[in-house]
Amino acid sequence: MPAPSQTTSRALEVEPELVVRFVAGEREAFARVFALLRLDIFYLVRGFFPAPFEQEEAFQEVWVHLHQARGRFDVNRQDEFVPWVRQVARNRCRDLLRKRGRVREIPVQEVEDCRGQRPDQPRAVVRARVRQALVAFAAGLTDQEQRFFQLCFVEERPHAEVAADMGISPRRSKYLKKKLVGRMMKNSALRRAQAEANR
Amino acid sequence: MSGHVDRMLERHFAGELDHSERQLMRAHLRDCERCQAEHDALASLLRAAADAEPTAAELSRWQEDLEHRLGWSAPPETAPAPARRPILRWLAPTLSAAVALVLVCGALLTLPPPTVGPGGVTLKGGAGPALVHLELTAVATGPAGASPSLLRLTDGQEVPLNRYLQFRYRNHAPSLKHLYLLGLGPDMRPLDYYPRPSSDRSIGIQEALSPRSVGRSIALARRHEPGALWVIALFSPQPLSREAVHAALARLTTGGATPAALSAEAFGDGVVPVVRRLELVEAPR
Repeated sequence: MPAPSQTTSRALEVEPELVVRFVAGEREAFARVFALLRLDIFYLVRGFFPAPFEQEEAFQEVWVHLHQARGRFDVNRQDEFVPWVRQVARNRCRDLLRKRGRVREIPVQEVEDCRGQRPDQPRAVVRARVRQALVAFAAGLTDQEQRFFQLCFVEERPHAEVAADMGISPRRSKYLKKKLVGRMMKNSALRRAQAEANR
Repeated sequence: MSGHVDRMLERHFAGELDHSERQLMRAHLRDCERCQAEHDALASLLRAAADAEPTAAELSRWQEDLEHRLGWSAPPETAPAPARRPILRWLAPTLSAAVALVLVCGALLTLPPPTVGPGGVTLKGGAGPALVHLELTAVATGPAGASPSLLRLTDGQEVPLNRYLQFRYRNHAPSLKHLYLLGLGPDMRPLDYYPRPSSDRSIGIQEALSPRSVGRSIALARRHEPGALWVIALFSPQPLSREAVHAALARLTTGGATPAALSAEAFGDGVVPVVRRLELVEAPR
């Protein structure tokens, strides 16, 4: 996956023809706009919702809402497409917060700043602690499991590639992934590090 | 862990859940703070491991779910139509079969919950700590006085027309208090319902929150045509009116889609549709 900082400038350029097709409701156009703006939208959503499950729910809601509201965009003002997408997303996030009886007003500038940028300093420090715990967890694995951990969880390679690399079947790769996820869930040091990070 | 979805979360993050299973899991997470916290902890760990927020797996999952929600998921592969016997053979019901049907009808009232025998198949959504567990069971007709036999069904399985189709469900999501069951024929016209068309009420299923499953039945009498049968169970936080369900189905089916493409949005906030496809065949003689 490309690093967020690499996507920023390119992601914001949406071809005029693509905008028209998106507004017309074409599935392929939606998929392309999604690919271009998904990280942009994610960072915006993250500014409103700190927890991963809430982020996922809000992210889905925002995109469904964008699809439903596409007809409201004036295709003669194509330069304003990305700002329009962001505004719709921001409004949807606020609506979702209001629905849940929570208010968390984020200054617009703050949301804009977190788009496509590396995690801020405190977040990076927290993540570094969790990563240390992950390194310690990985050190306790067998050689084969360590290799698998690297390929599957760090490099996020698909099962077929992991299997080919390690000389195992894709089915075995899936089994190992489930097994390691289960061990991560039960590992007290990891849980502790994660809990501290959430504080 | 009864009532929680730890194993489902493991399978979720291992990429083993399909869209409908993820929907069920998410319905539970919305109501269960503990499981939501488990989800968040594991998601954060995996993001930290990959040094990515969100991870590539999350993005791909979210896109897949989104396409389902927008009704763009690929239709399921249609099973080849089963070889059929001459139509007259199943159009000629015998008196003994009719008697057997009446007996089975009576027996259904006293049937114990079906048990999973060796080789029994549990449908998707029913494995592990399911949130909403829907089983389809065919009840065979038999000679007068004989105990009816139960056949646990899988998706796309063939069911003879002289059987009763029994639904059993367990529900572990407290917010999903209402159930609407519907059978659709090959032409997408409703075959059977529960509640009946004369009633706008939905079934209260609070009692289904207990470990004991609750059964409802649809009779697959010979008035039904051989072919596909879609069985749709809508678990909902609010009562669904028959008109609203049919309007949503009509919108879907006039677009040429199959019920497998049903998404929660078609019916309103928080509705979890569970869809199964069976193939009706003529009765064996």
